[in-house]
Amino acid sequence: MSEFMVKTVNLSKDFKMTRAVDRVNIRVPKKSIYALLGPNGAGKTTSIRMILGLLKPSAGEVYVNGFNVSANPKSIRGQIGLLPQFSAAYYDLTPIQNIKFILELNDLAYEDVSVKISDYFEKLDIKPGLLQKPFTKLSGGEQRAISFIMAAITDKEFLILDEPTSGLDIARAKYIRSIIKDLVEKEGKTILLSSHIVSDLEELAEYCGILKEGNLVFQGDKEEIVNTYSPESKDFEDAIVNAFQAPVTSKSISSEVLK
Amino acid sequence: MKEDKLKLYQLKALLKKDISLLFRKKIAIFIFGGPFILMFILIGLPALFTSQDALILLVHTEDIGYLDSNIGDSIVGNISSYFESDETIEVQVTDNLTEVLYTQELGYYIPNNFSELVFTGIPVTFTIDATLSPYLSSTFEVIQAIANNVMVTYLANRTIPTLQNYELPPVSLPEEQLLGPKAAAIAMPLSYMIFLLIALNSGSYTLIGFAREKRMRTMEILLSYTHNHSFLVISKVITGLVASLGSTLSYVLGILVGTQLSGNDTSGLLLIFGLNLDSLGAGDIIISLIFVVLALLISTLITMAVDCNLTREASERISPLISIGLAMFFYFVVLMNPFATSSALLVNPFYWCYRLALLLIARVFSMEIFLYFSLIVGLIVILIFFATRGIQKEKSLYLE
Repeated sequence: MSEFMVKTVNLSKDFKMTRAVDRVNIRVPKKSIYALLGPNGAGKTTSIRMILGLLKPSAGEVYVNGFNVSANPKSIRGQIGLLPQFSAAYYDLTPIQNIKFILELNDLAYEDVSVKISDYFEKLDIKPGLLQKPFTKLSGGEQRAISFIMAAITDKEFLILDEPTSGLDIARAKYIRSIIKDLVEKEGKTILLSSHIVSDLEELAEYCGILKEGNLVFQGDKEEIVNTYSPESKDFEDAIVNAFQAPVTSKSISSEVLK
Repeated sequence: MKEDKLKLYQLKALLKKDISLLFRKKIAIFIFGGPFILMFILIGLPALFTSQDALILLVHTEDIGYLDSNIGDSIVGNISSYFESDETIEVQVTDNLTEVLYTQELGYYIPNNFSELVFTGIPVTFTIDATLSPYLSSTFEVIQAIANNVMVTYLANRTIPTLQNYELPPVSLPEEQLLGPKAAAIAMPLSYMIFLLIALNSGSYTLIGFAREKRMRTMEILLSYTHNHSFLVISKVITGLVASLGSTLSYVLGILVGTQLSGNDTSGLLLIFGLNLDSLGAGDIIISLIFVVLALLISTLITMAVDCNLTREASERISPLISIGLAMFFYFVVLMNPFATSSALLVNPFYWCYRLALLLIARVFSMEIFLYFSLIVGLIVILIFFATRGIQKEKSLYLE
């Protein structure tokens, strides 16, 4: 089996006249947290959707856990836990009904994971009274926290989390980061993370891939990104900002580990 | 992980979610309460403020016909015993045949001795009337009951034609002969039900379709977690059927309550759809209803297949129209001739349902049954395929 959970080979996607993703070679090592970064419109969501098998690549290939997703998207359906960019849940259903729906869709019984869910509720300060309200009546932060729980409890080996702490208060964001770390360290899961929040990236990301204008301009671990883009200040945030502002060259910088 | 290759648990979860969403307050009011309130307002409220026009029964008193006995007067006399305190029926007498020929403009013609039922073109009116609308059909039943009573009482020893509406036409069409009286009696109510229910339920599609999933941004999750994307379509279609049937029930209840309020004599399905339980039998009515549900299923699938393959704005405008257009075309052609067959009808899926139901009711087991059955099954499979392919397209992930 491959040592990479995700491996893309010259992955490209065209939308009419625009090339959204251009010959990208992402490598997400198993049992790690890989952060896919980039300015708005860099091609992150498009790349994630191709990894999920929801978008057909215009060229190149995607492998997830050894399965060729581009050739057979069905092969990984139901294999990836997903937290989409926006809180995706049924507004008219209560948080509990939404969670139960996701569990049933994944052939999991609520009773089997109720302890874990209660633990998440407690950590993320979801009061019991909220659980019986329609999802739409919850605040943005509460909705995000519930959406995160819906992704985390699916018991998938590989999770894609798009902006997991977006809109959350400091406490909830901190607990979500700790849960993400536990998912990798204690449960051996692999996480592909997309985030603009530097604290998330600093604390969580082992590897980073920086997309710009559809190109993967950098891929490596945190130390490498700092050494490459902010060698003087050694500041992680500066390194990311510099990476975002650096011109796109035909050759991307990629760590030896991820080649 | 349990061994379930088909992953039917996913279909179960999707169905549970979709049906649960159907019973949310606002949607439930629209789907289940709306038709009831509408029918109640349309029928019940006006009835409280308007009076009913009397139904006119015309008797040709000069006709003594081949029975050589004027029983028209006896019928007229008997009407009072049937409608003792009913002011909704008025009996008029005519002494010329010209007036009889234009009787449809006046009301309903009672032949004095039924000779004309056999020997002139007028009885044709009766035969078709019996299936044209619930009102005509019920009137005919009443007339028939009165006439039978009169004959039993006054003409017990005479040989008279049996008073059955479907045996009356002097010249019946080959198709009518083939399909028989039961199919003839159910033809119009069946086509009316198919058309009416499709028209009534087309509006509720937007509440159960994929546009709602797009608005809630749940398409990504559904497509990622569901192994067989056809389940997403099947679940929506079944939910659409539940909504349609609930909506229809609400519509029927609205009419019944409305007519009760108006003081009209009602006889359930006979009043609403022209379905006469006494003459048709429960079995035939159940067959009819099964095919009405099948037509509704096809209608939902057509709407969904179009919806999923067009852009959101275009699909919201076009998708219900295609289904209603097909149903309307089918109904108006069949309305003119219930046994019509034309190439335009033969490509209409609602006609397939209608025709198959008639063949089964008539117990005519021919290759035609196999043909229509294959066409219906084939179309359902194709529509599920197209709808599934549609939701897998890139545009289903984006809010257009």
